[in-house]
Amino acid sequence: MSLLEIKDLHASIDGNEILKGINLKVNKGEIHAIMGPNGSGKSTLASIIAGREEYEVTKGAVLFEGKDLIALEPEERAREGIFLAFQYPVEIPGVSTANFIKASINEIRKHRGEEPLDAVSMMRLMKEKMALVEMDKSFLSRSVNEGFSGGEKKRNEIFQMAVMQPKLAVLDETDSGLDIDALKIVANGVNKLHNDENAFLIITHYQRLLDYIVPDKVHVLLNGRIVKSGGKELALNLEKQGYDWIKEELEAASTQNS
Amino acid sequence: MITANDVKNKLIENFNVFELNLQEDESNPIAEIRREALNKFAAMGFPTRKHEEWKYTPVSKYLKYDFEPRIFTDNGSAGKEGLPNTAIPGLRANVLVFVNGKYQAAHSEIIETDQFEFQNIASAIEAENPYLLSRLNAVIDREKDPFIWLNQAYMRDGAMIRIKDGAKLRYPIYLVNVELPNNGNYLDNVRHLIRVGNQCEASIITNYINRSGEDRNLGNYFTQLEIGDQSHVQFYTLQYELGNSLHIGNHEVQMGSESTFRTFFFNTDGRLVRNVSNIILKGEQSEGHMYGLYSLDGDDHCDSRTMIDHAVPNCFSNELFKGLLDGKSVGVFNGKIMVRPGAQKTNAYQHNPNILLSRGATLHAKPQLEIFADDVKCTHGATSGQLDEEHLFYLRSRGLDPAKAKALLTYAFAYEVVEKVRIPALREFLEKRIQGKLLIHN
Repeated sequence: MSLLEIKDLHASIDGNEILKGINLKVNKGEIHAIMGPNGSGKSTLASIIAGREEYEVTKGAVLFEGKDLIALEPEERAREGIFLAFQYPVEIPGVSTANFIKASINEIRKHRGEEPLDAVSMMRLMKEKMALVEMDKSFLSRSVNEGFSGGEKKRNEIFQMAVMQPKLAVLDETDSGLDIDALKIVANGVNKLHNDENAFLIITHYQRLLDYIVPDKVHVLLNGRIVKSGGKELALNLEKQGYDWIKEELEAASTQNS
Repeated sequence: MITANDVKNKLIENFNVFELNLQEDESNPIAEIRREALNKFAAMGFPTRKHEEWKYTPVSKYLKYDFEPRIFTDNGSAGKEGLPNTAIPGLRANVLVFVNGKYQAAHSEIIETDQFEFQNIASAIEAENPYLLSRLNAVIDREKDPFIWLNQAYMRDGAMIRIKDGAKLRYPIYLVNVELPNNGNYLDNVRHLIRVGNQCEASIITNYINRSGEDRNLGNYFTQLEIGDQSHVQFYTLQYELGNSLHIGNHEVQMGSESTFRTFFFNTDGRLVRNVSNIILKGEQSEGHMYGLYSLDGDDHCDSRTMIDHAVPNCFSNELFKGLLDGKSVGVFNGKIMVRPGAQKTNAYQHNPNILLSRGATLHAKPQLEIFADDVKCTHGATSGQLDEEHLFYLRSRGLDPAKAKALLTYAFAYEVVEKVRIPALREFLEKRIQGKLLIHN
């Protein structure tokens, strides 16, 4: 059984169909990259996996460990082991990062039938994971994302991911707006967290993150459909040649078919 | 059925009895001051909805039973028993306790006797204190609030404080009034007169605790504050008023040159609360900061009115009042910025964001700018809305259920005001109170 299985997924927002039949299987231990030009539906796909409510699934299914994901509330998905690293992490003044993460971990532990972590273990866990993304521990007492630079916000997402240890992590354009140093830190975090029991879905516009995180599979999303899948070399081709050659291939194919 | 008008008439009729019971000297000028105030009150009566200033606060709706003007029949102190804990944990302060409006020497403690003078109003009246009399006479004719006149007519006790020139208070002055049950509906008029000298630093906390249970008291509070030149003052108003009582608070602040004033209103409970704060910037280069937080639910009604009066050039004012409205609560905000002719180079800002947490809650917000000078910078804005869906989603995507996510975000909204509190023990106290109210358990 795949960890994540998406079958003929159609989804729309305000009556506009954005996803027009997505099929995708992600197994434990795999890293998948989803690439595509702006407006192709990448972030929509991430939003639907995480449970954003403004999208309506009109057809198809998303299964997580064989269970229907669409029926679950966003918090239930998080507790089941899905994590979304946001493209635009939200600032929450007045809520310290430490308190936020504590609340979050304990919700997940409760769901798994585990006791809440005691203060010492909690602090140890947070410090360990902060080191992974090279964040100073002073961030813990600061309000969530408030006044953080773009790079710090993204690192904070990876930090949260590290603490929550999801089965499936979806990174929604985590690389956008990052300088090369921050990009390496984020990639390093992902690589260290990656193991045989979890999987990553990396949504990106550019190939450069994939210089540091090596995907098992690369999918090209175009106009709401996955139009091409391949190995890591596909990402390199896209970097060199853009998306036009794929569009041309598709057009040629459709002319032949008609 | 008793109407507000009946209540008014009864108060006027009973004034003689009140006066007799006071046993004040006939030659004491206070007698005339009281009479004059009573006449003003009689002429105005209680406000109705037709009064623009009271349009959204139907006070007459609550005035359906007789109030007994409080007279202290005994001169003794209230016992400790029955007195709730009034302390703010971890806060060392110059404490002045009032019970049902009456000063309680036995429960009070002044630490910094060398920095300020205190006399309770009842003693000051008896002593015909010239400063007191001059301030009472200075309650100017244009005063249109009948509650101020009612306070002046029936004034009984309160604090008269003079902070000496150059005094730097290490500890706040903590003025707390506790309403206790008395098997009746009482009118309590408390008057605080605070004079801060030049080059002073001081913090003042007023706390109104209501434990009168079923009693429907009308707490009618009037605080006057004069701030000298180059003085820096923080002033906090807290309320913890459960039950049925009404709270009418009037505040009048006059600021000298190069002074700064920070005022805070925290309303987290209260059946009917109205707080009016008028700040007059009388000396140049002065700075007024006003912060407020009203967190309401159930049938709470909170009316906050502020007026910052730029009477001279080169002053700065900033105002942030935030509202959280749940249940069927009603919030009223009226913020006025006045820039007098010639008050050039005025900078005045005002912001009033509100979050409506339920469909039943109502907000009436009215920012007002009256500008009679041309070289000024003034902005104002009032908003009301729901919690940000994107914020909620962020928290939920981290495993928090919607109720908890809401509570955290609501707290974060409130925190922007709480964090401005400069006394750490007080800030912590308020954090806990608001967390408790929003049911956040860390």
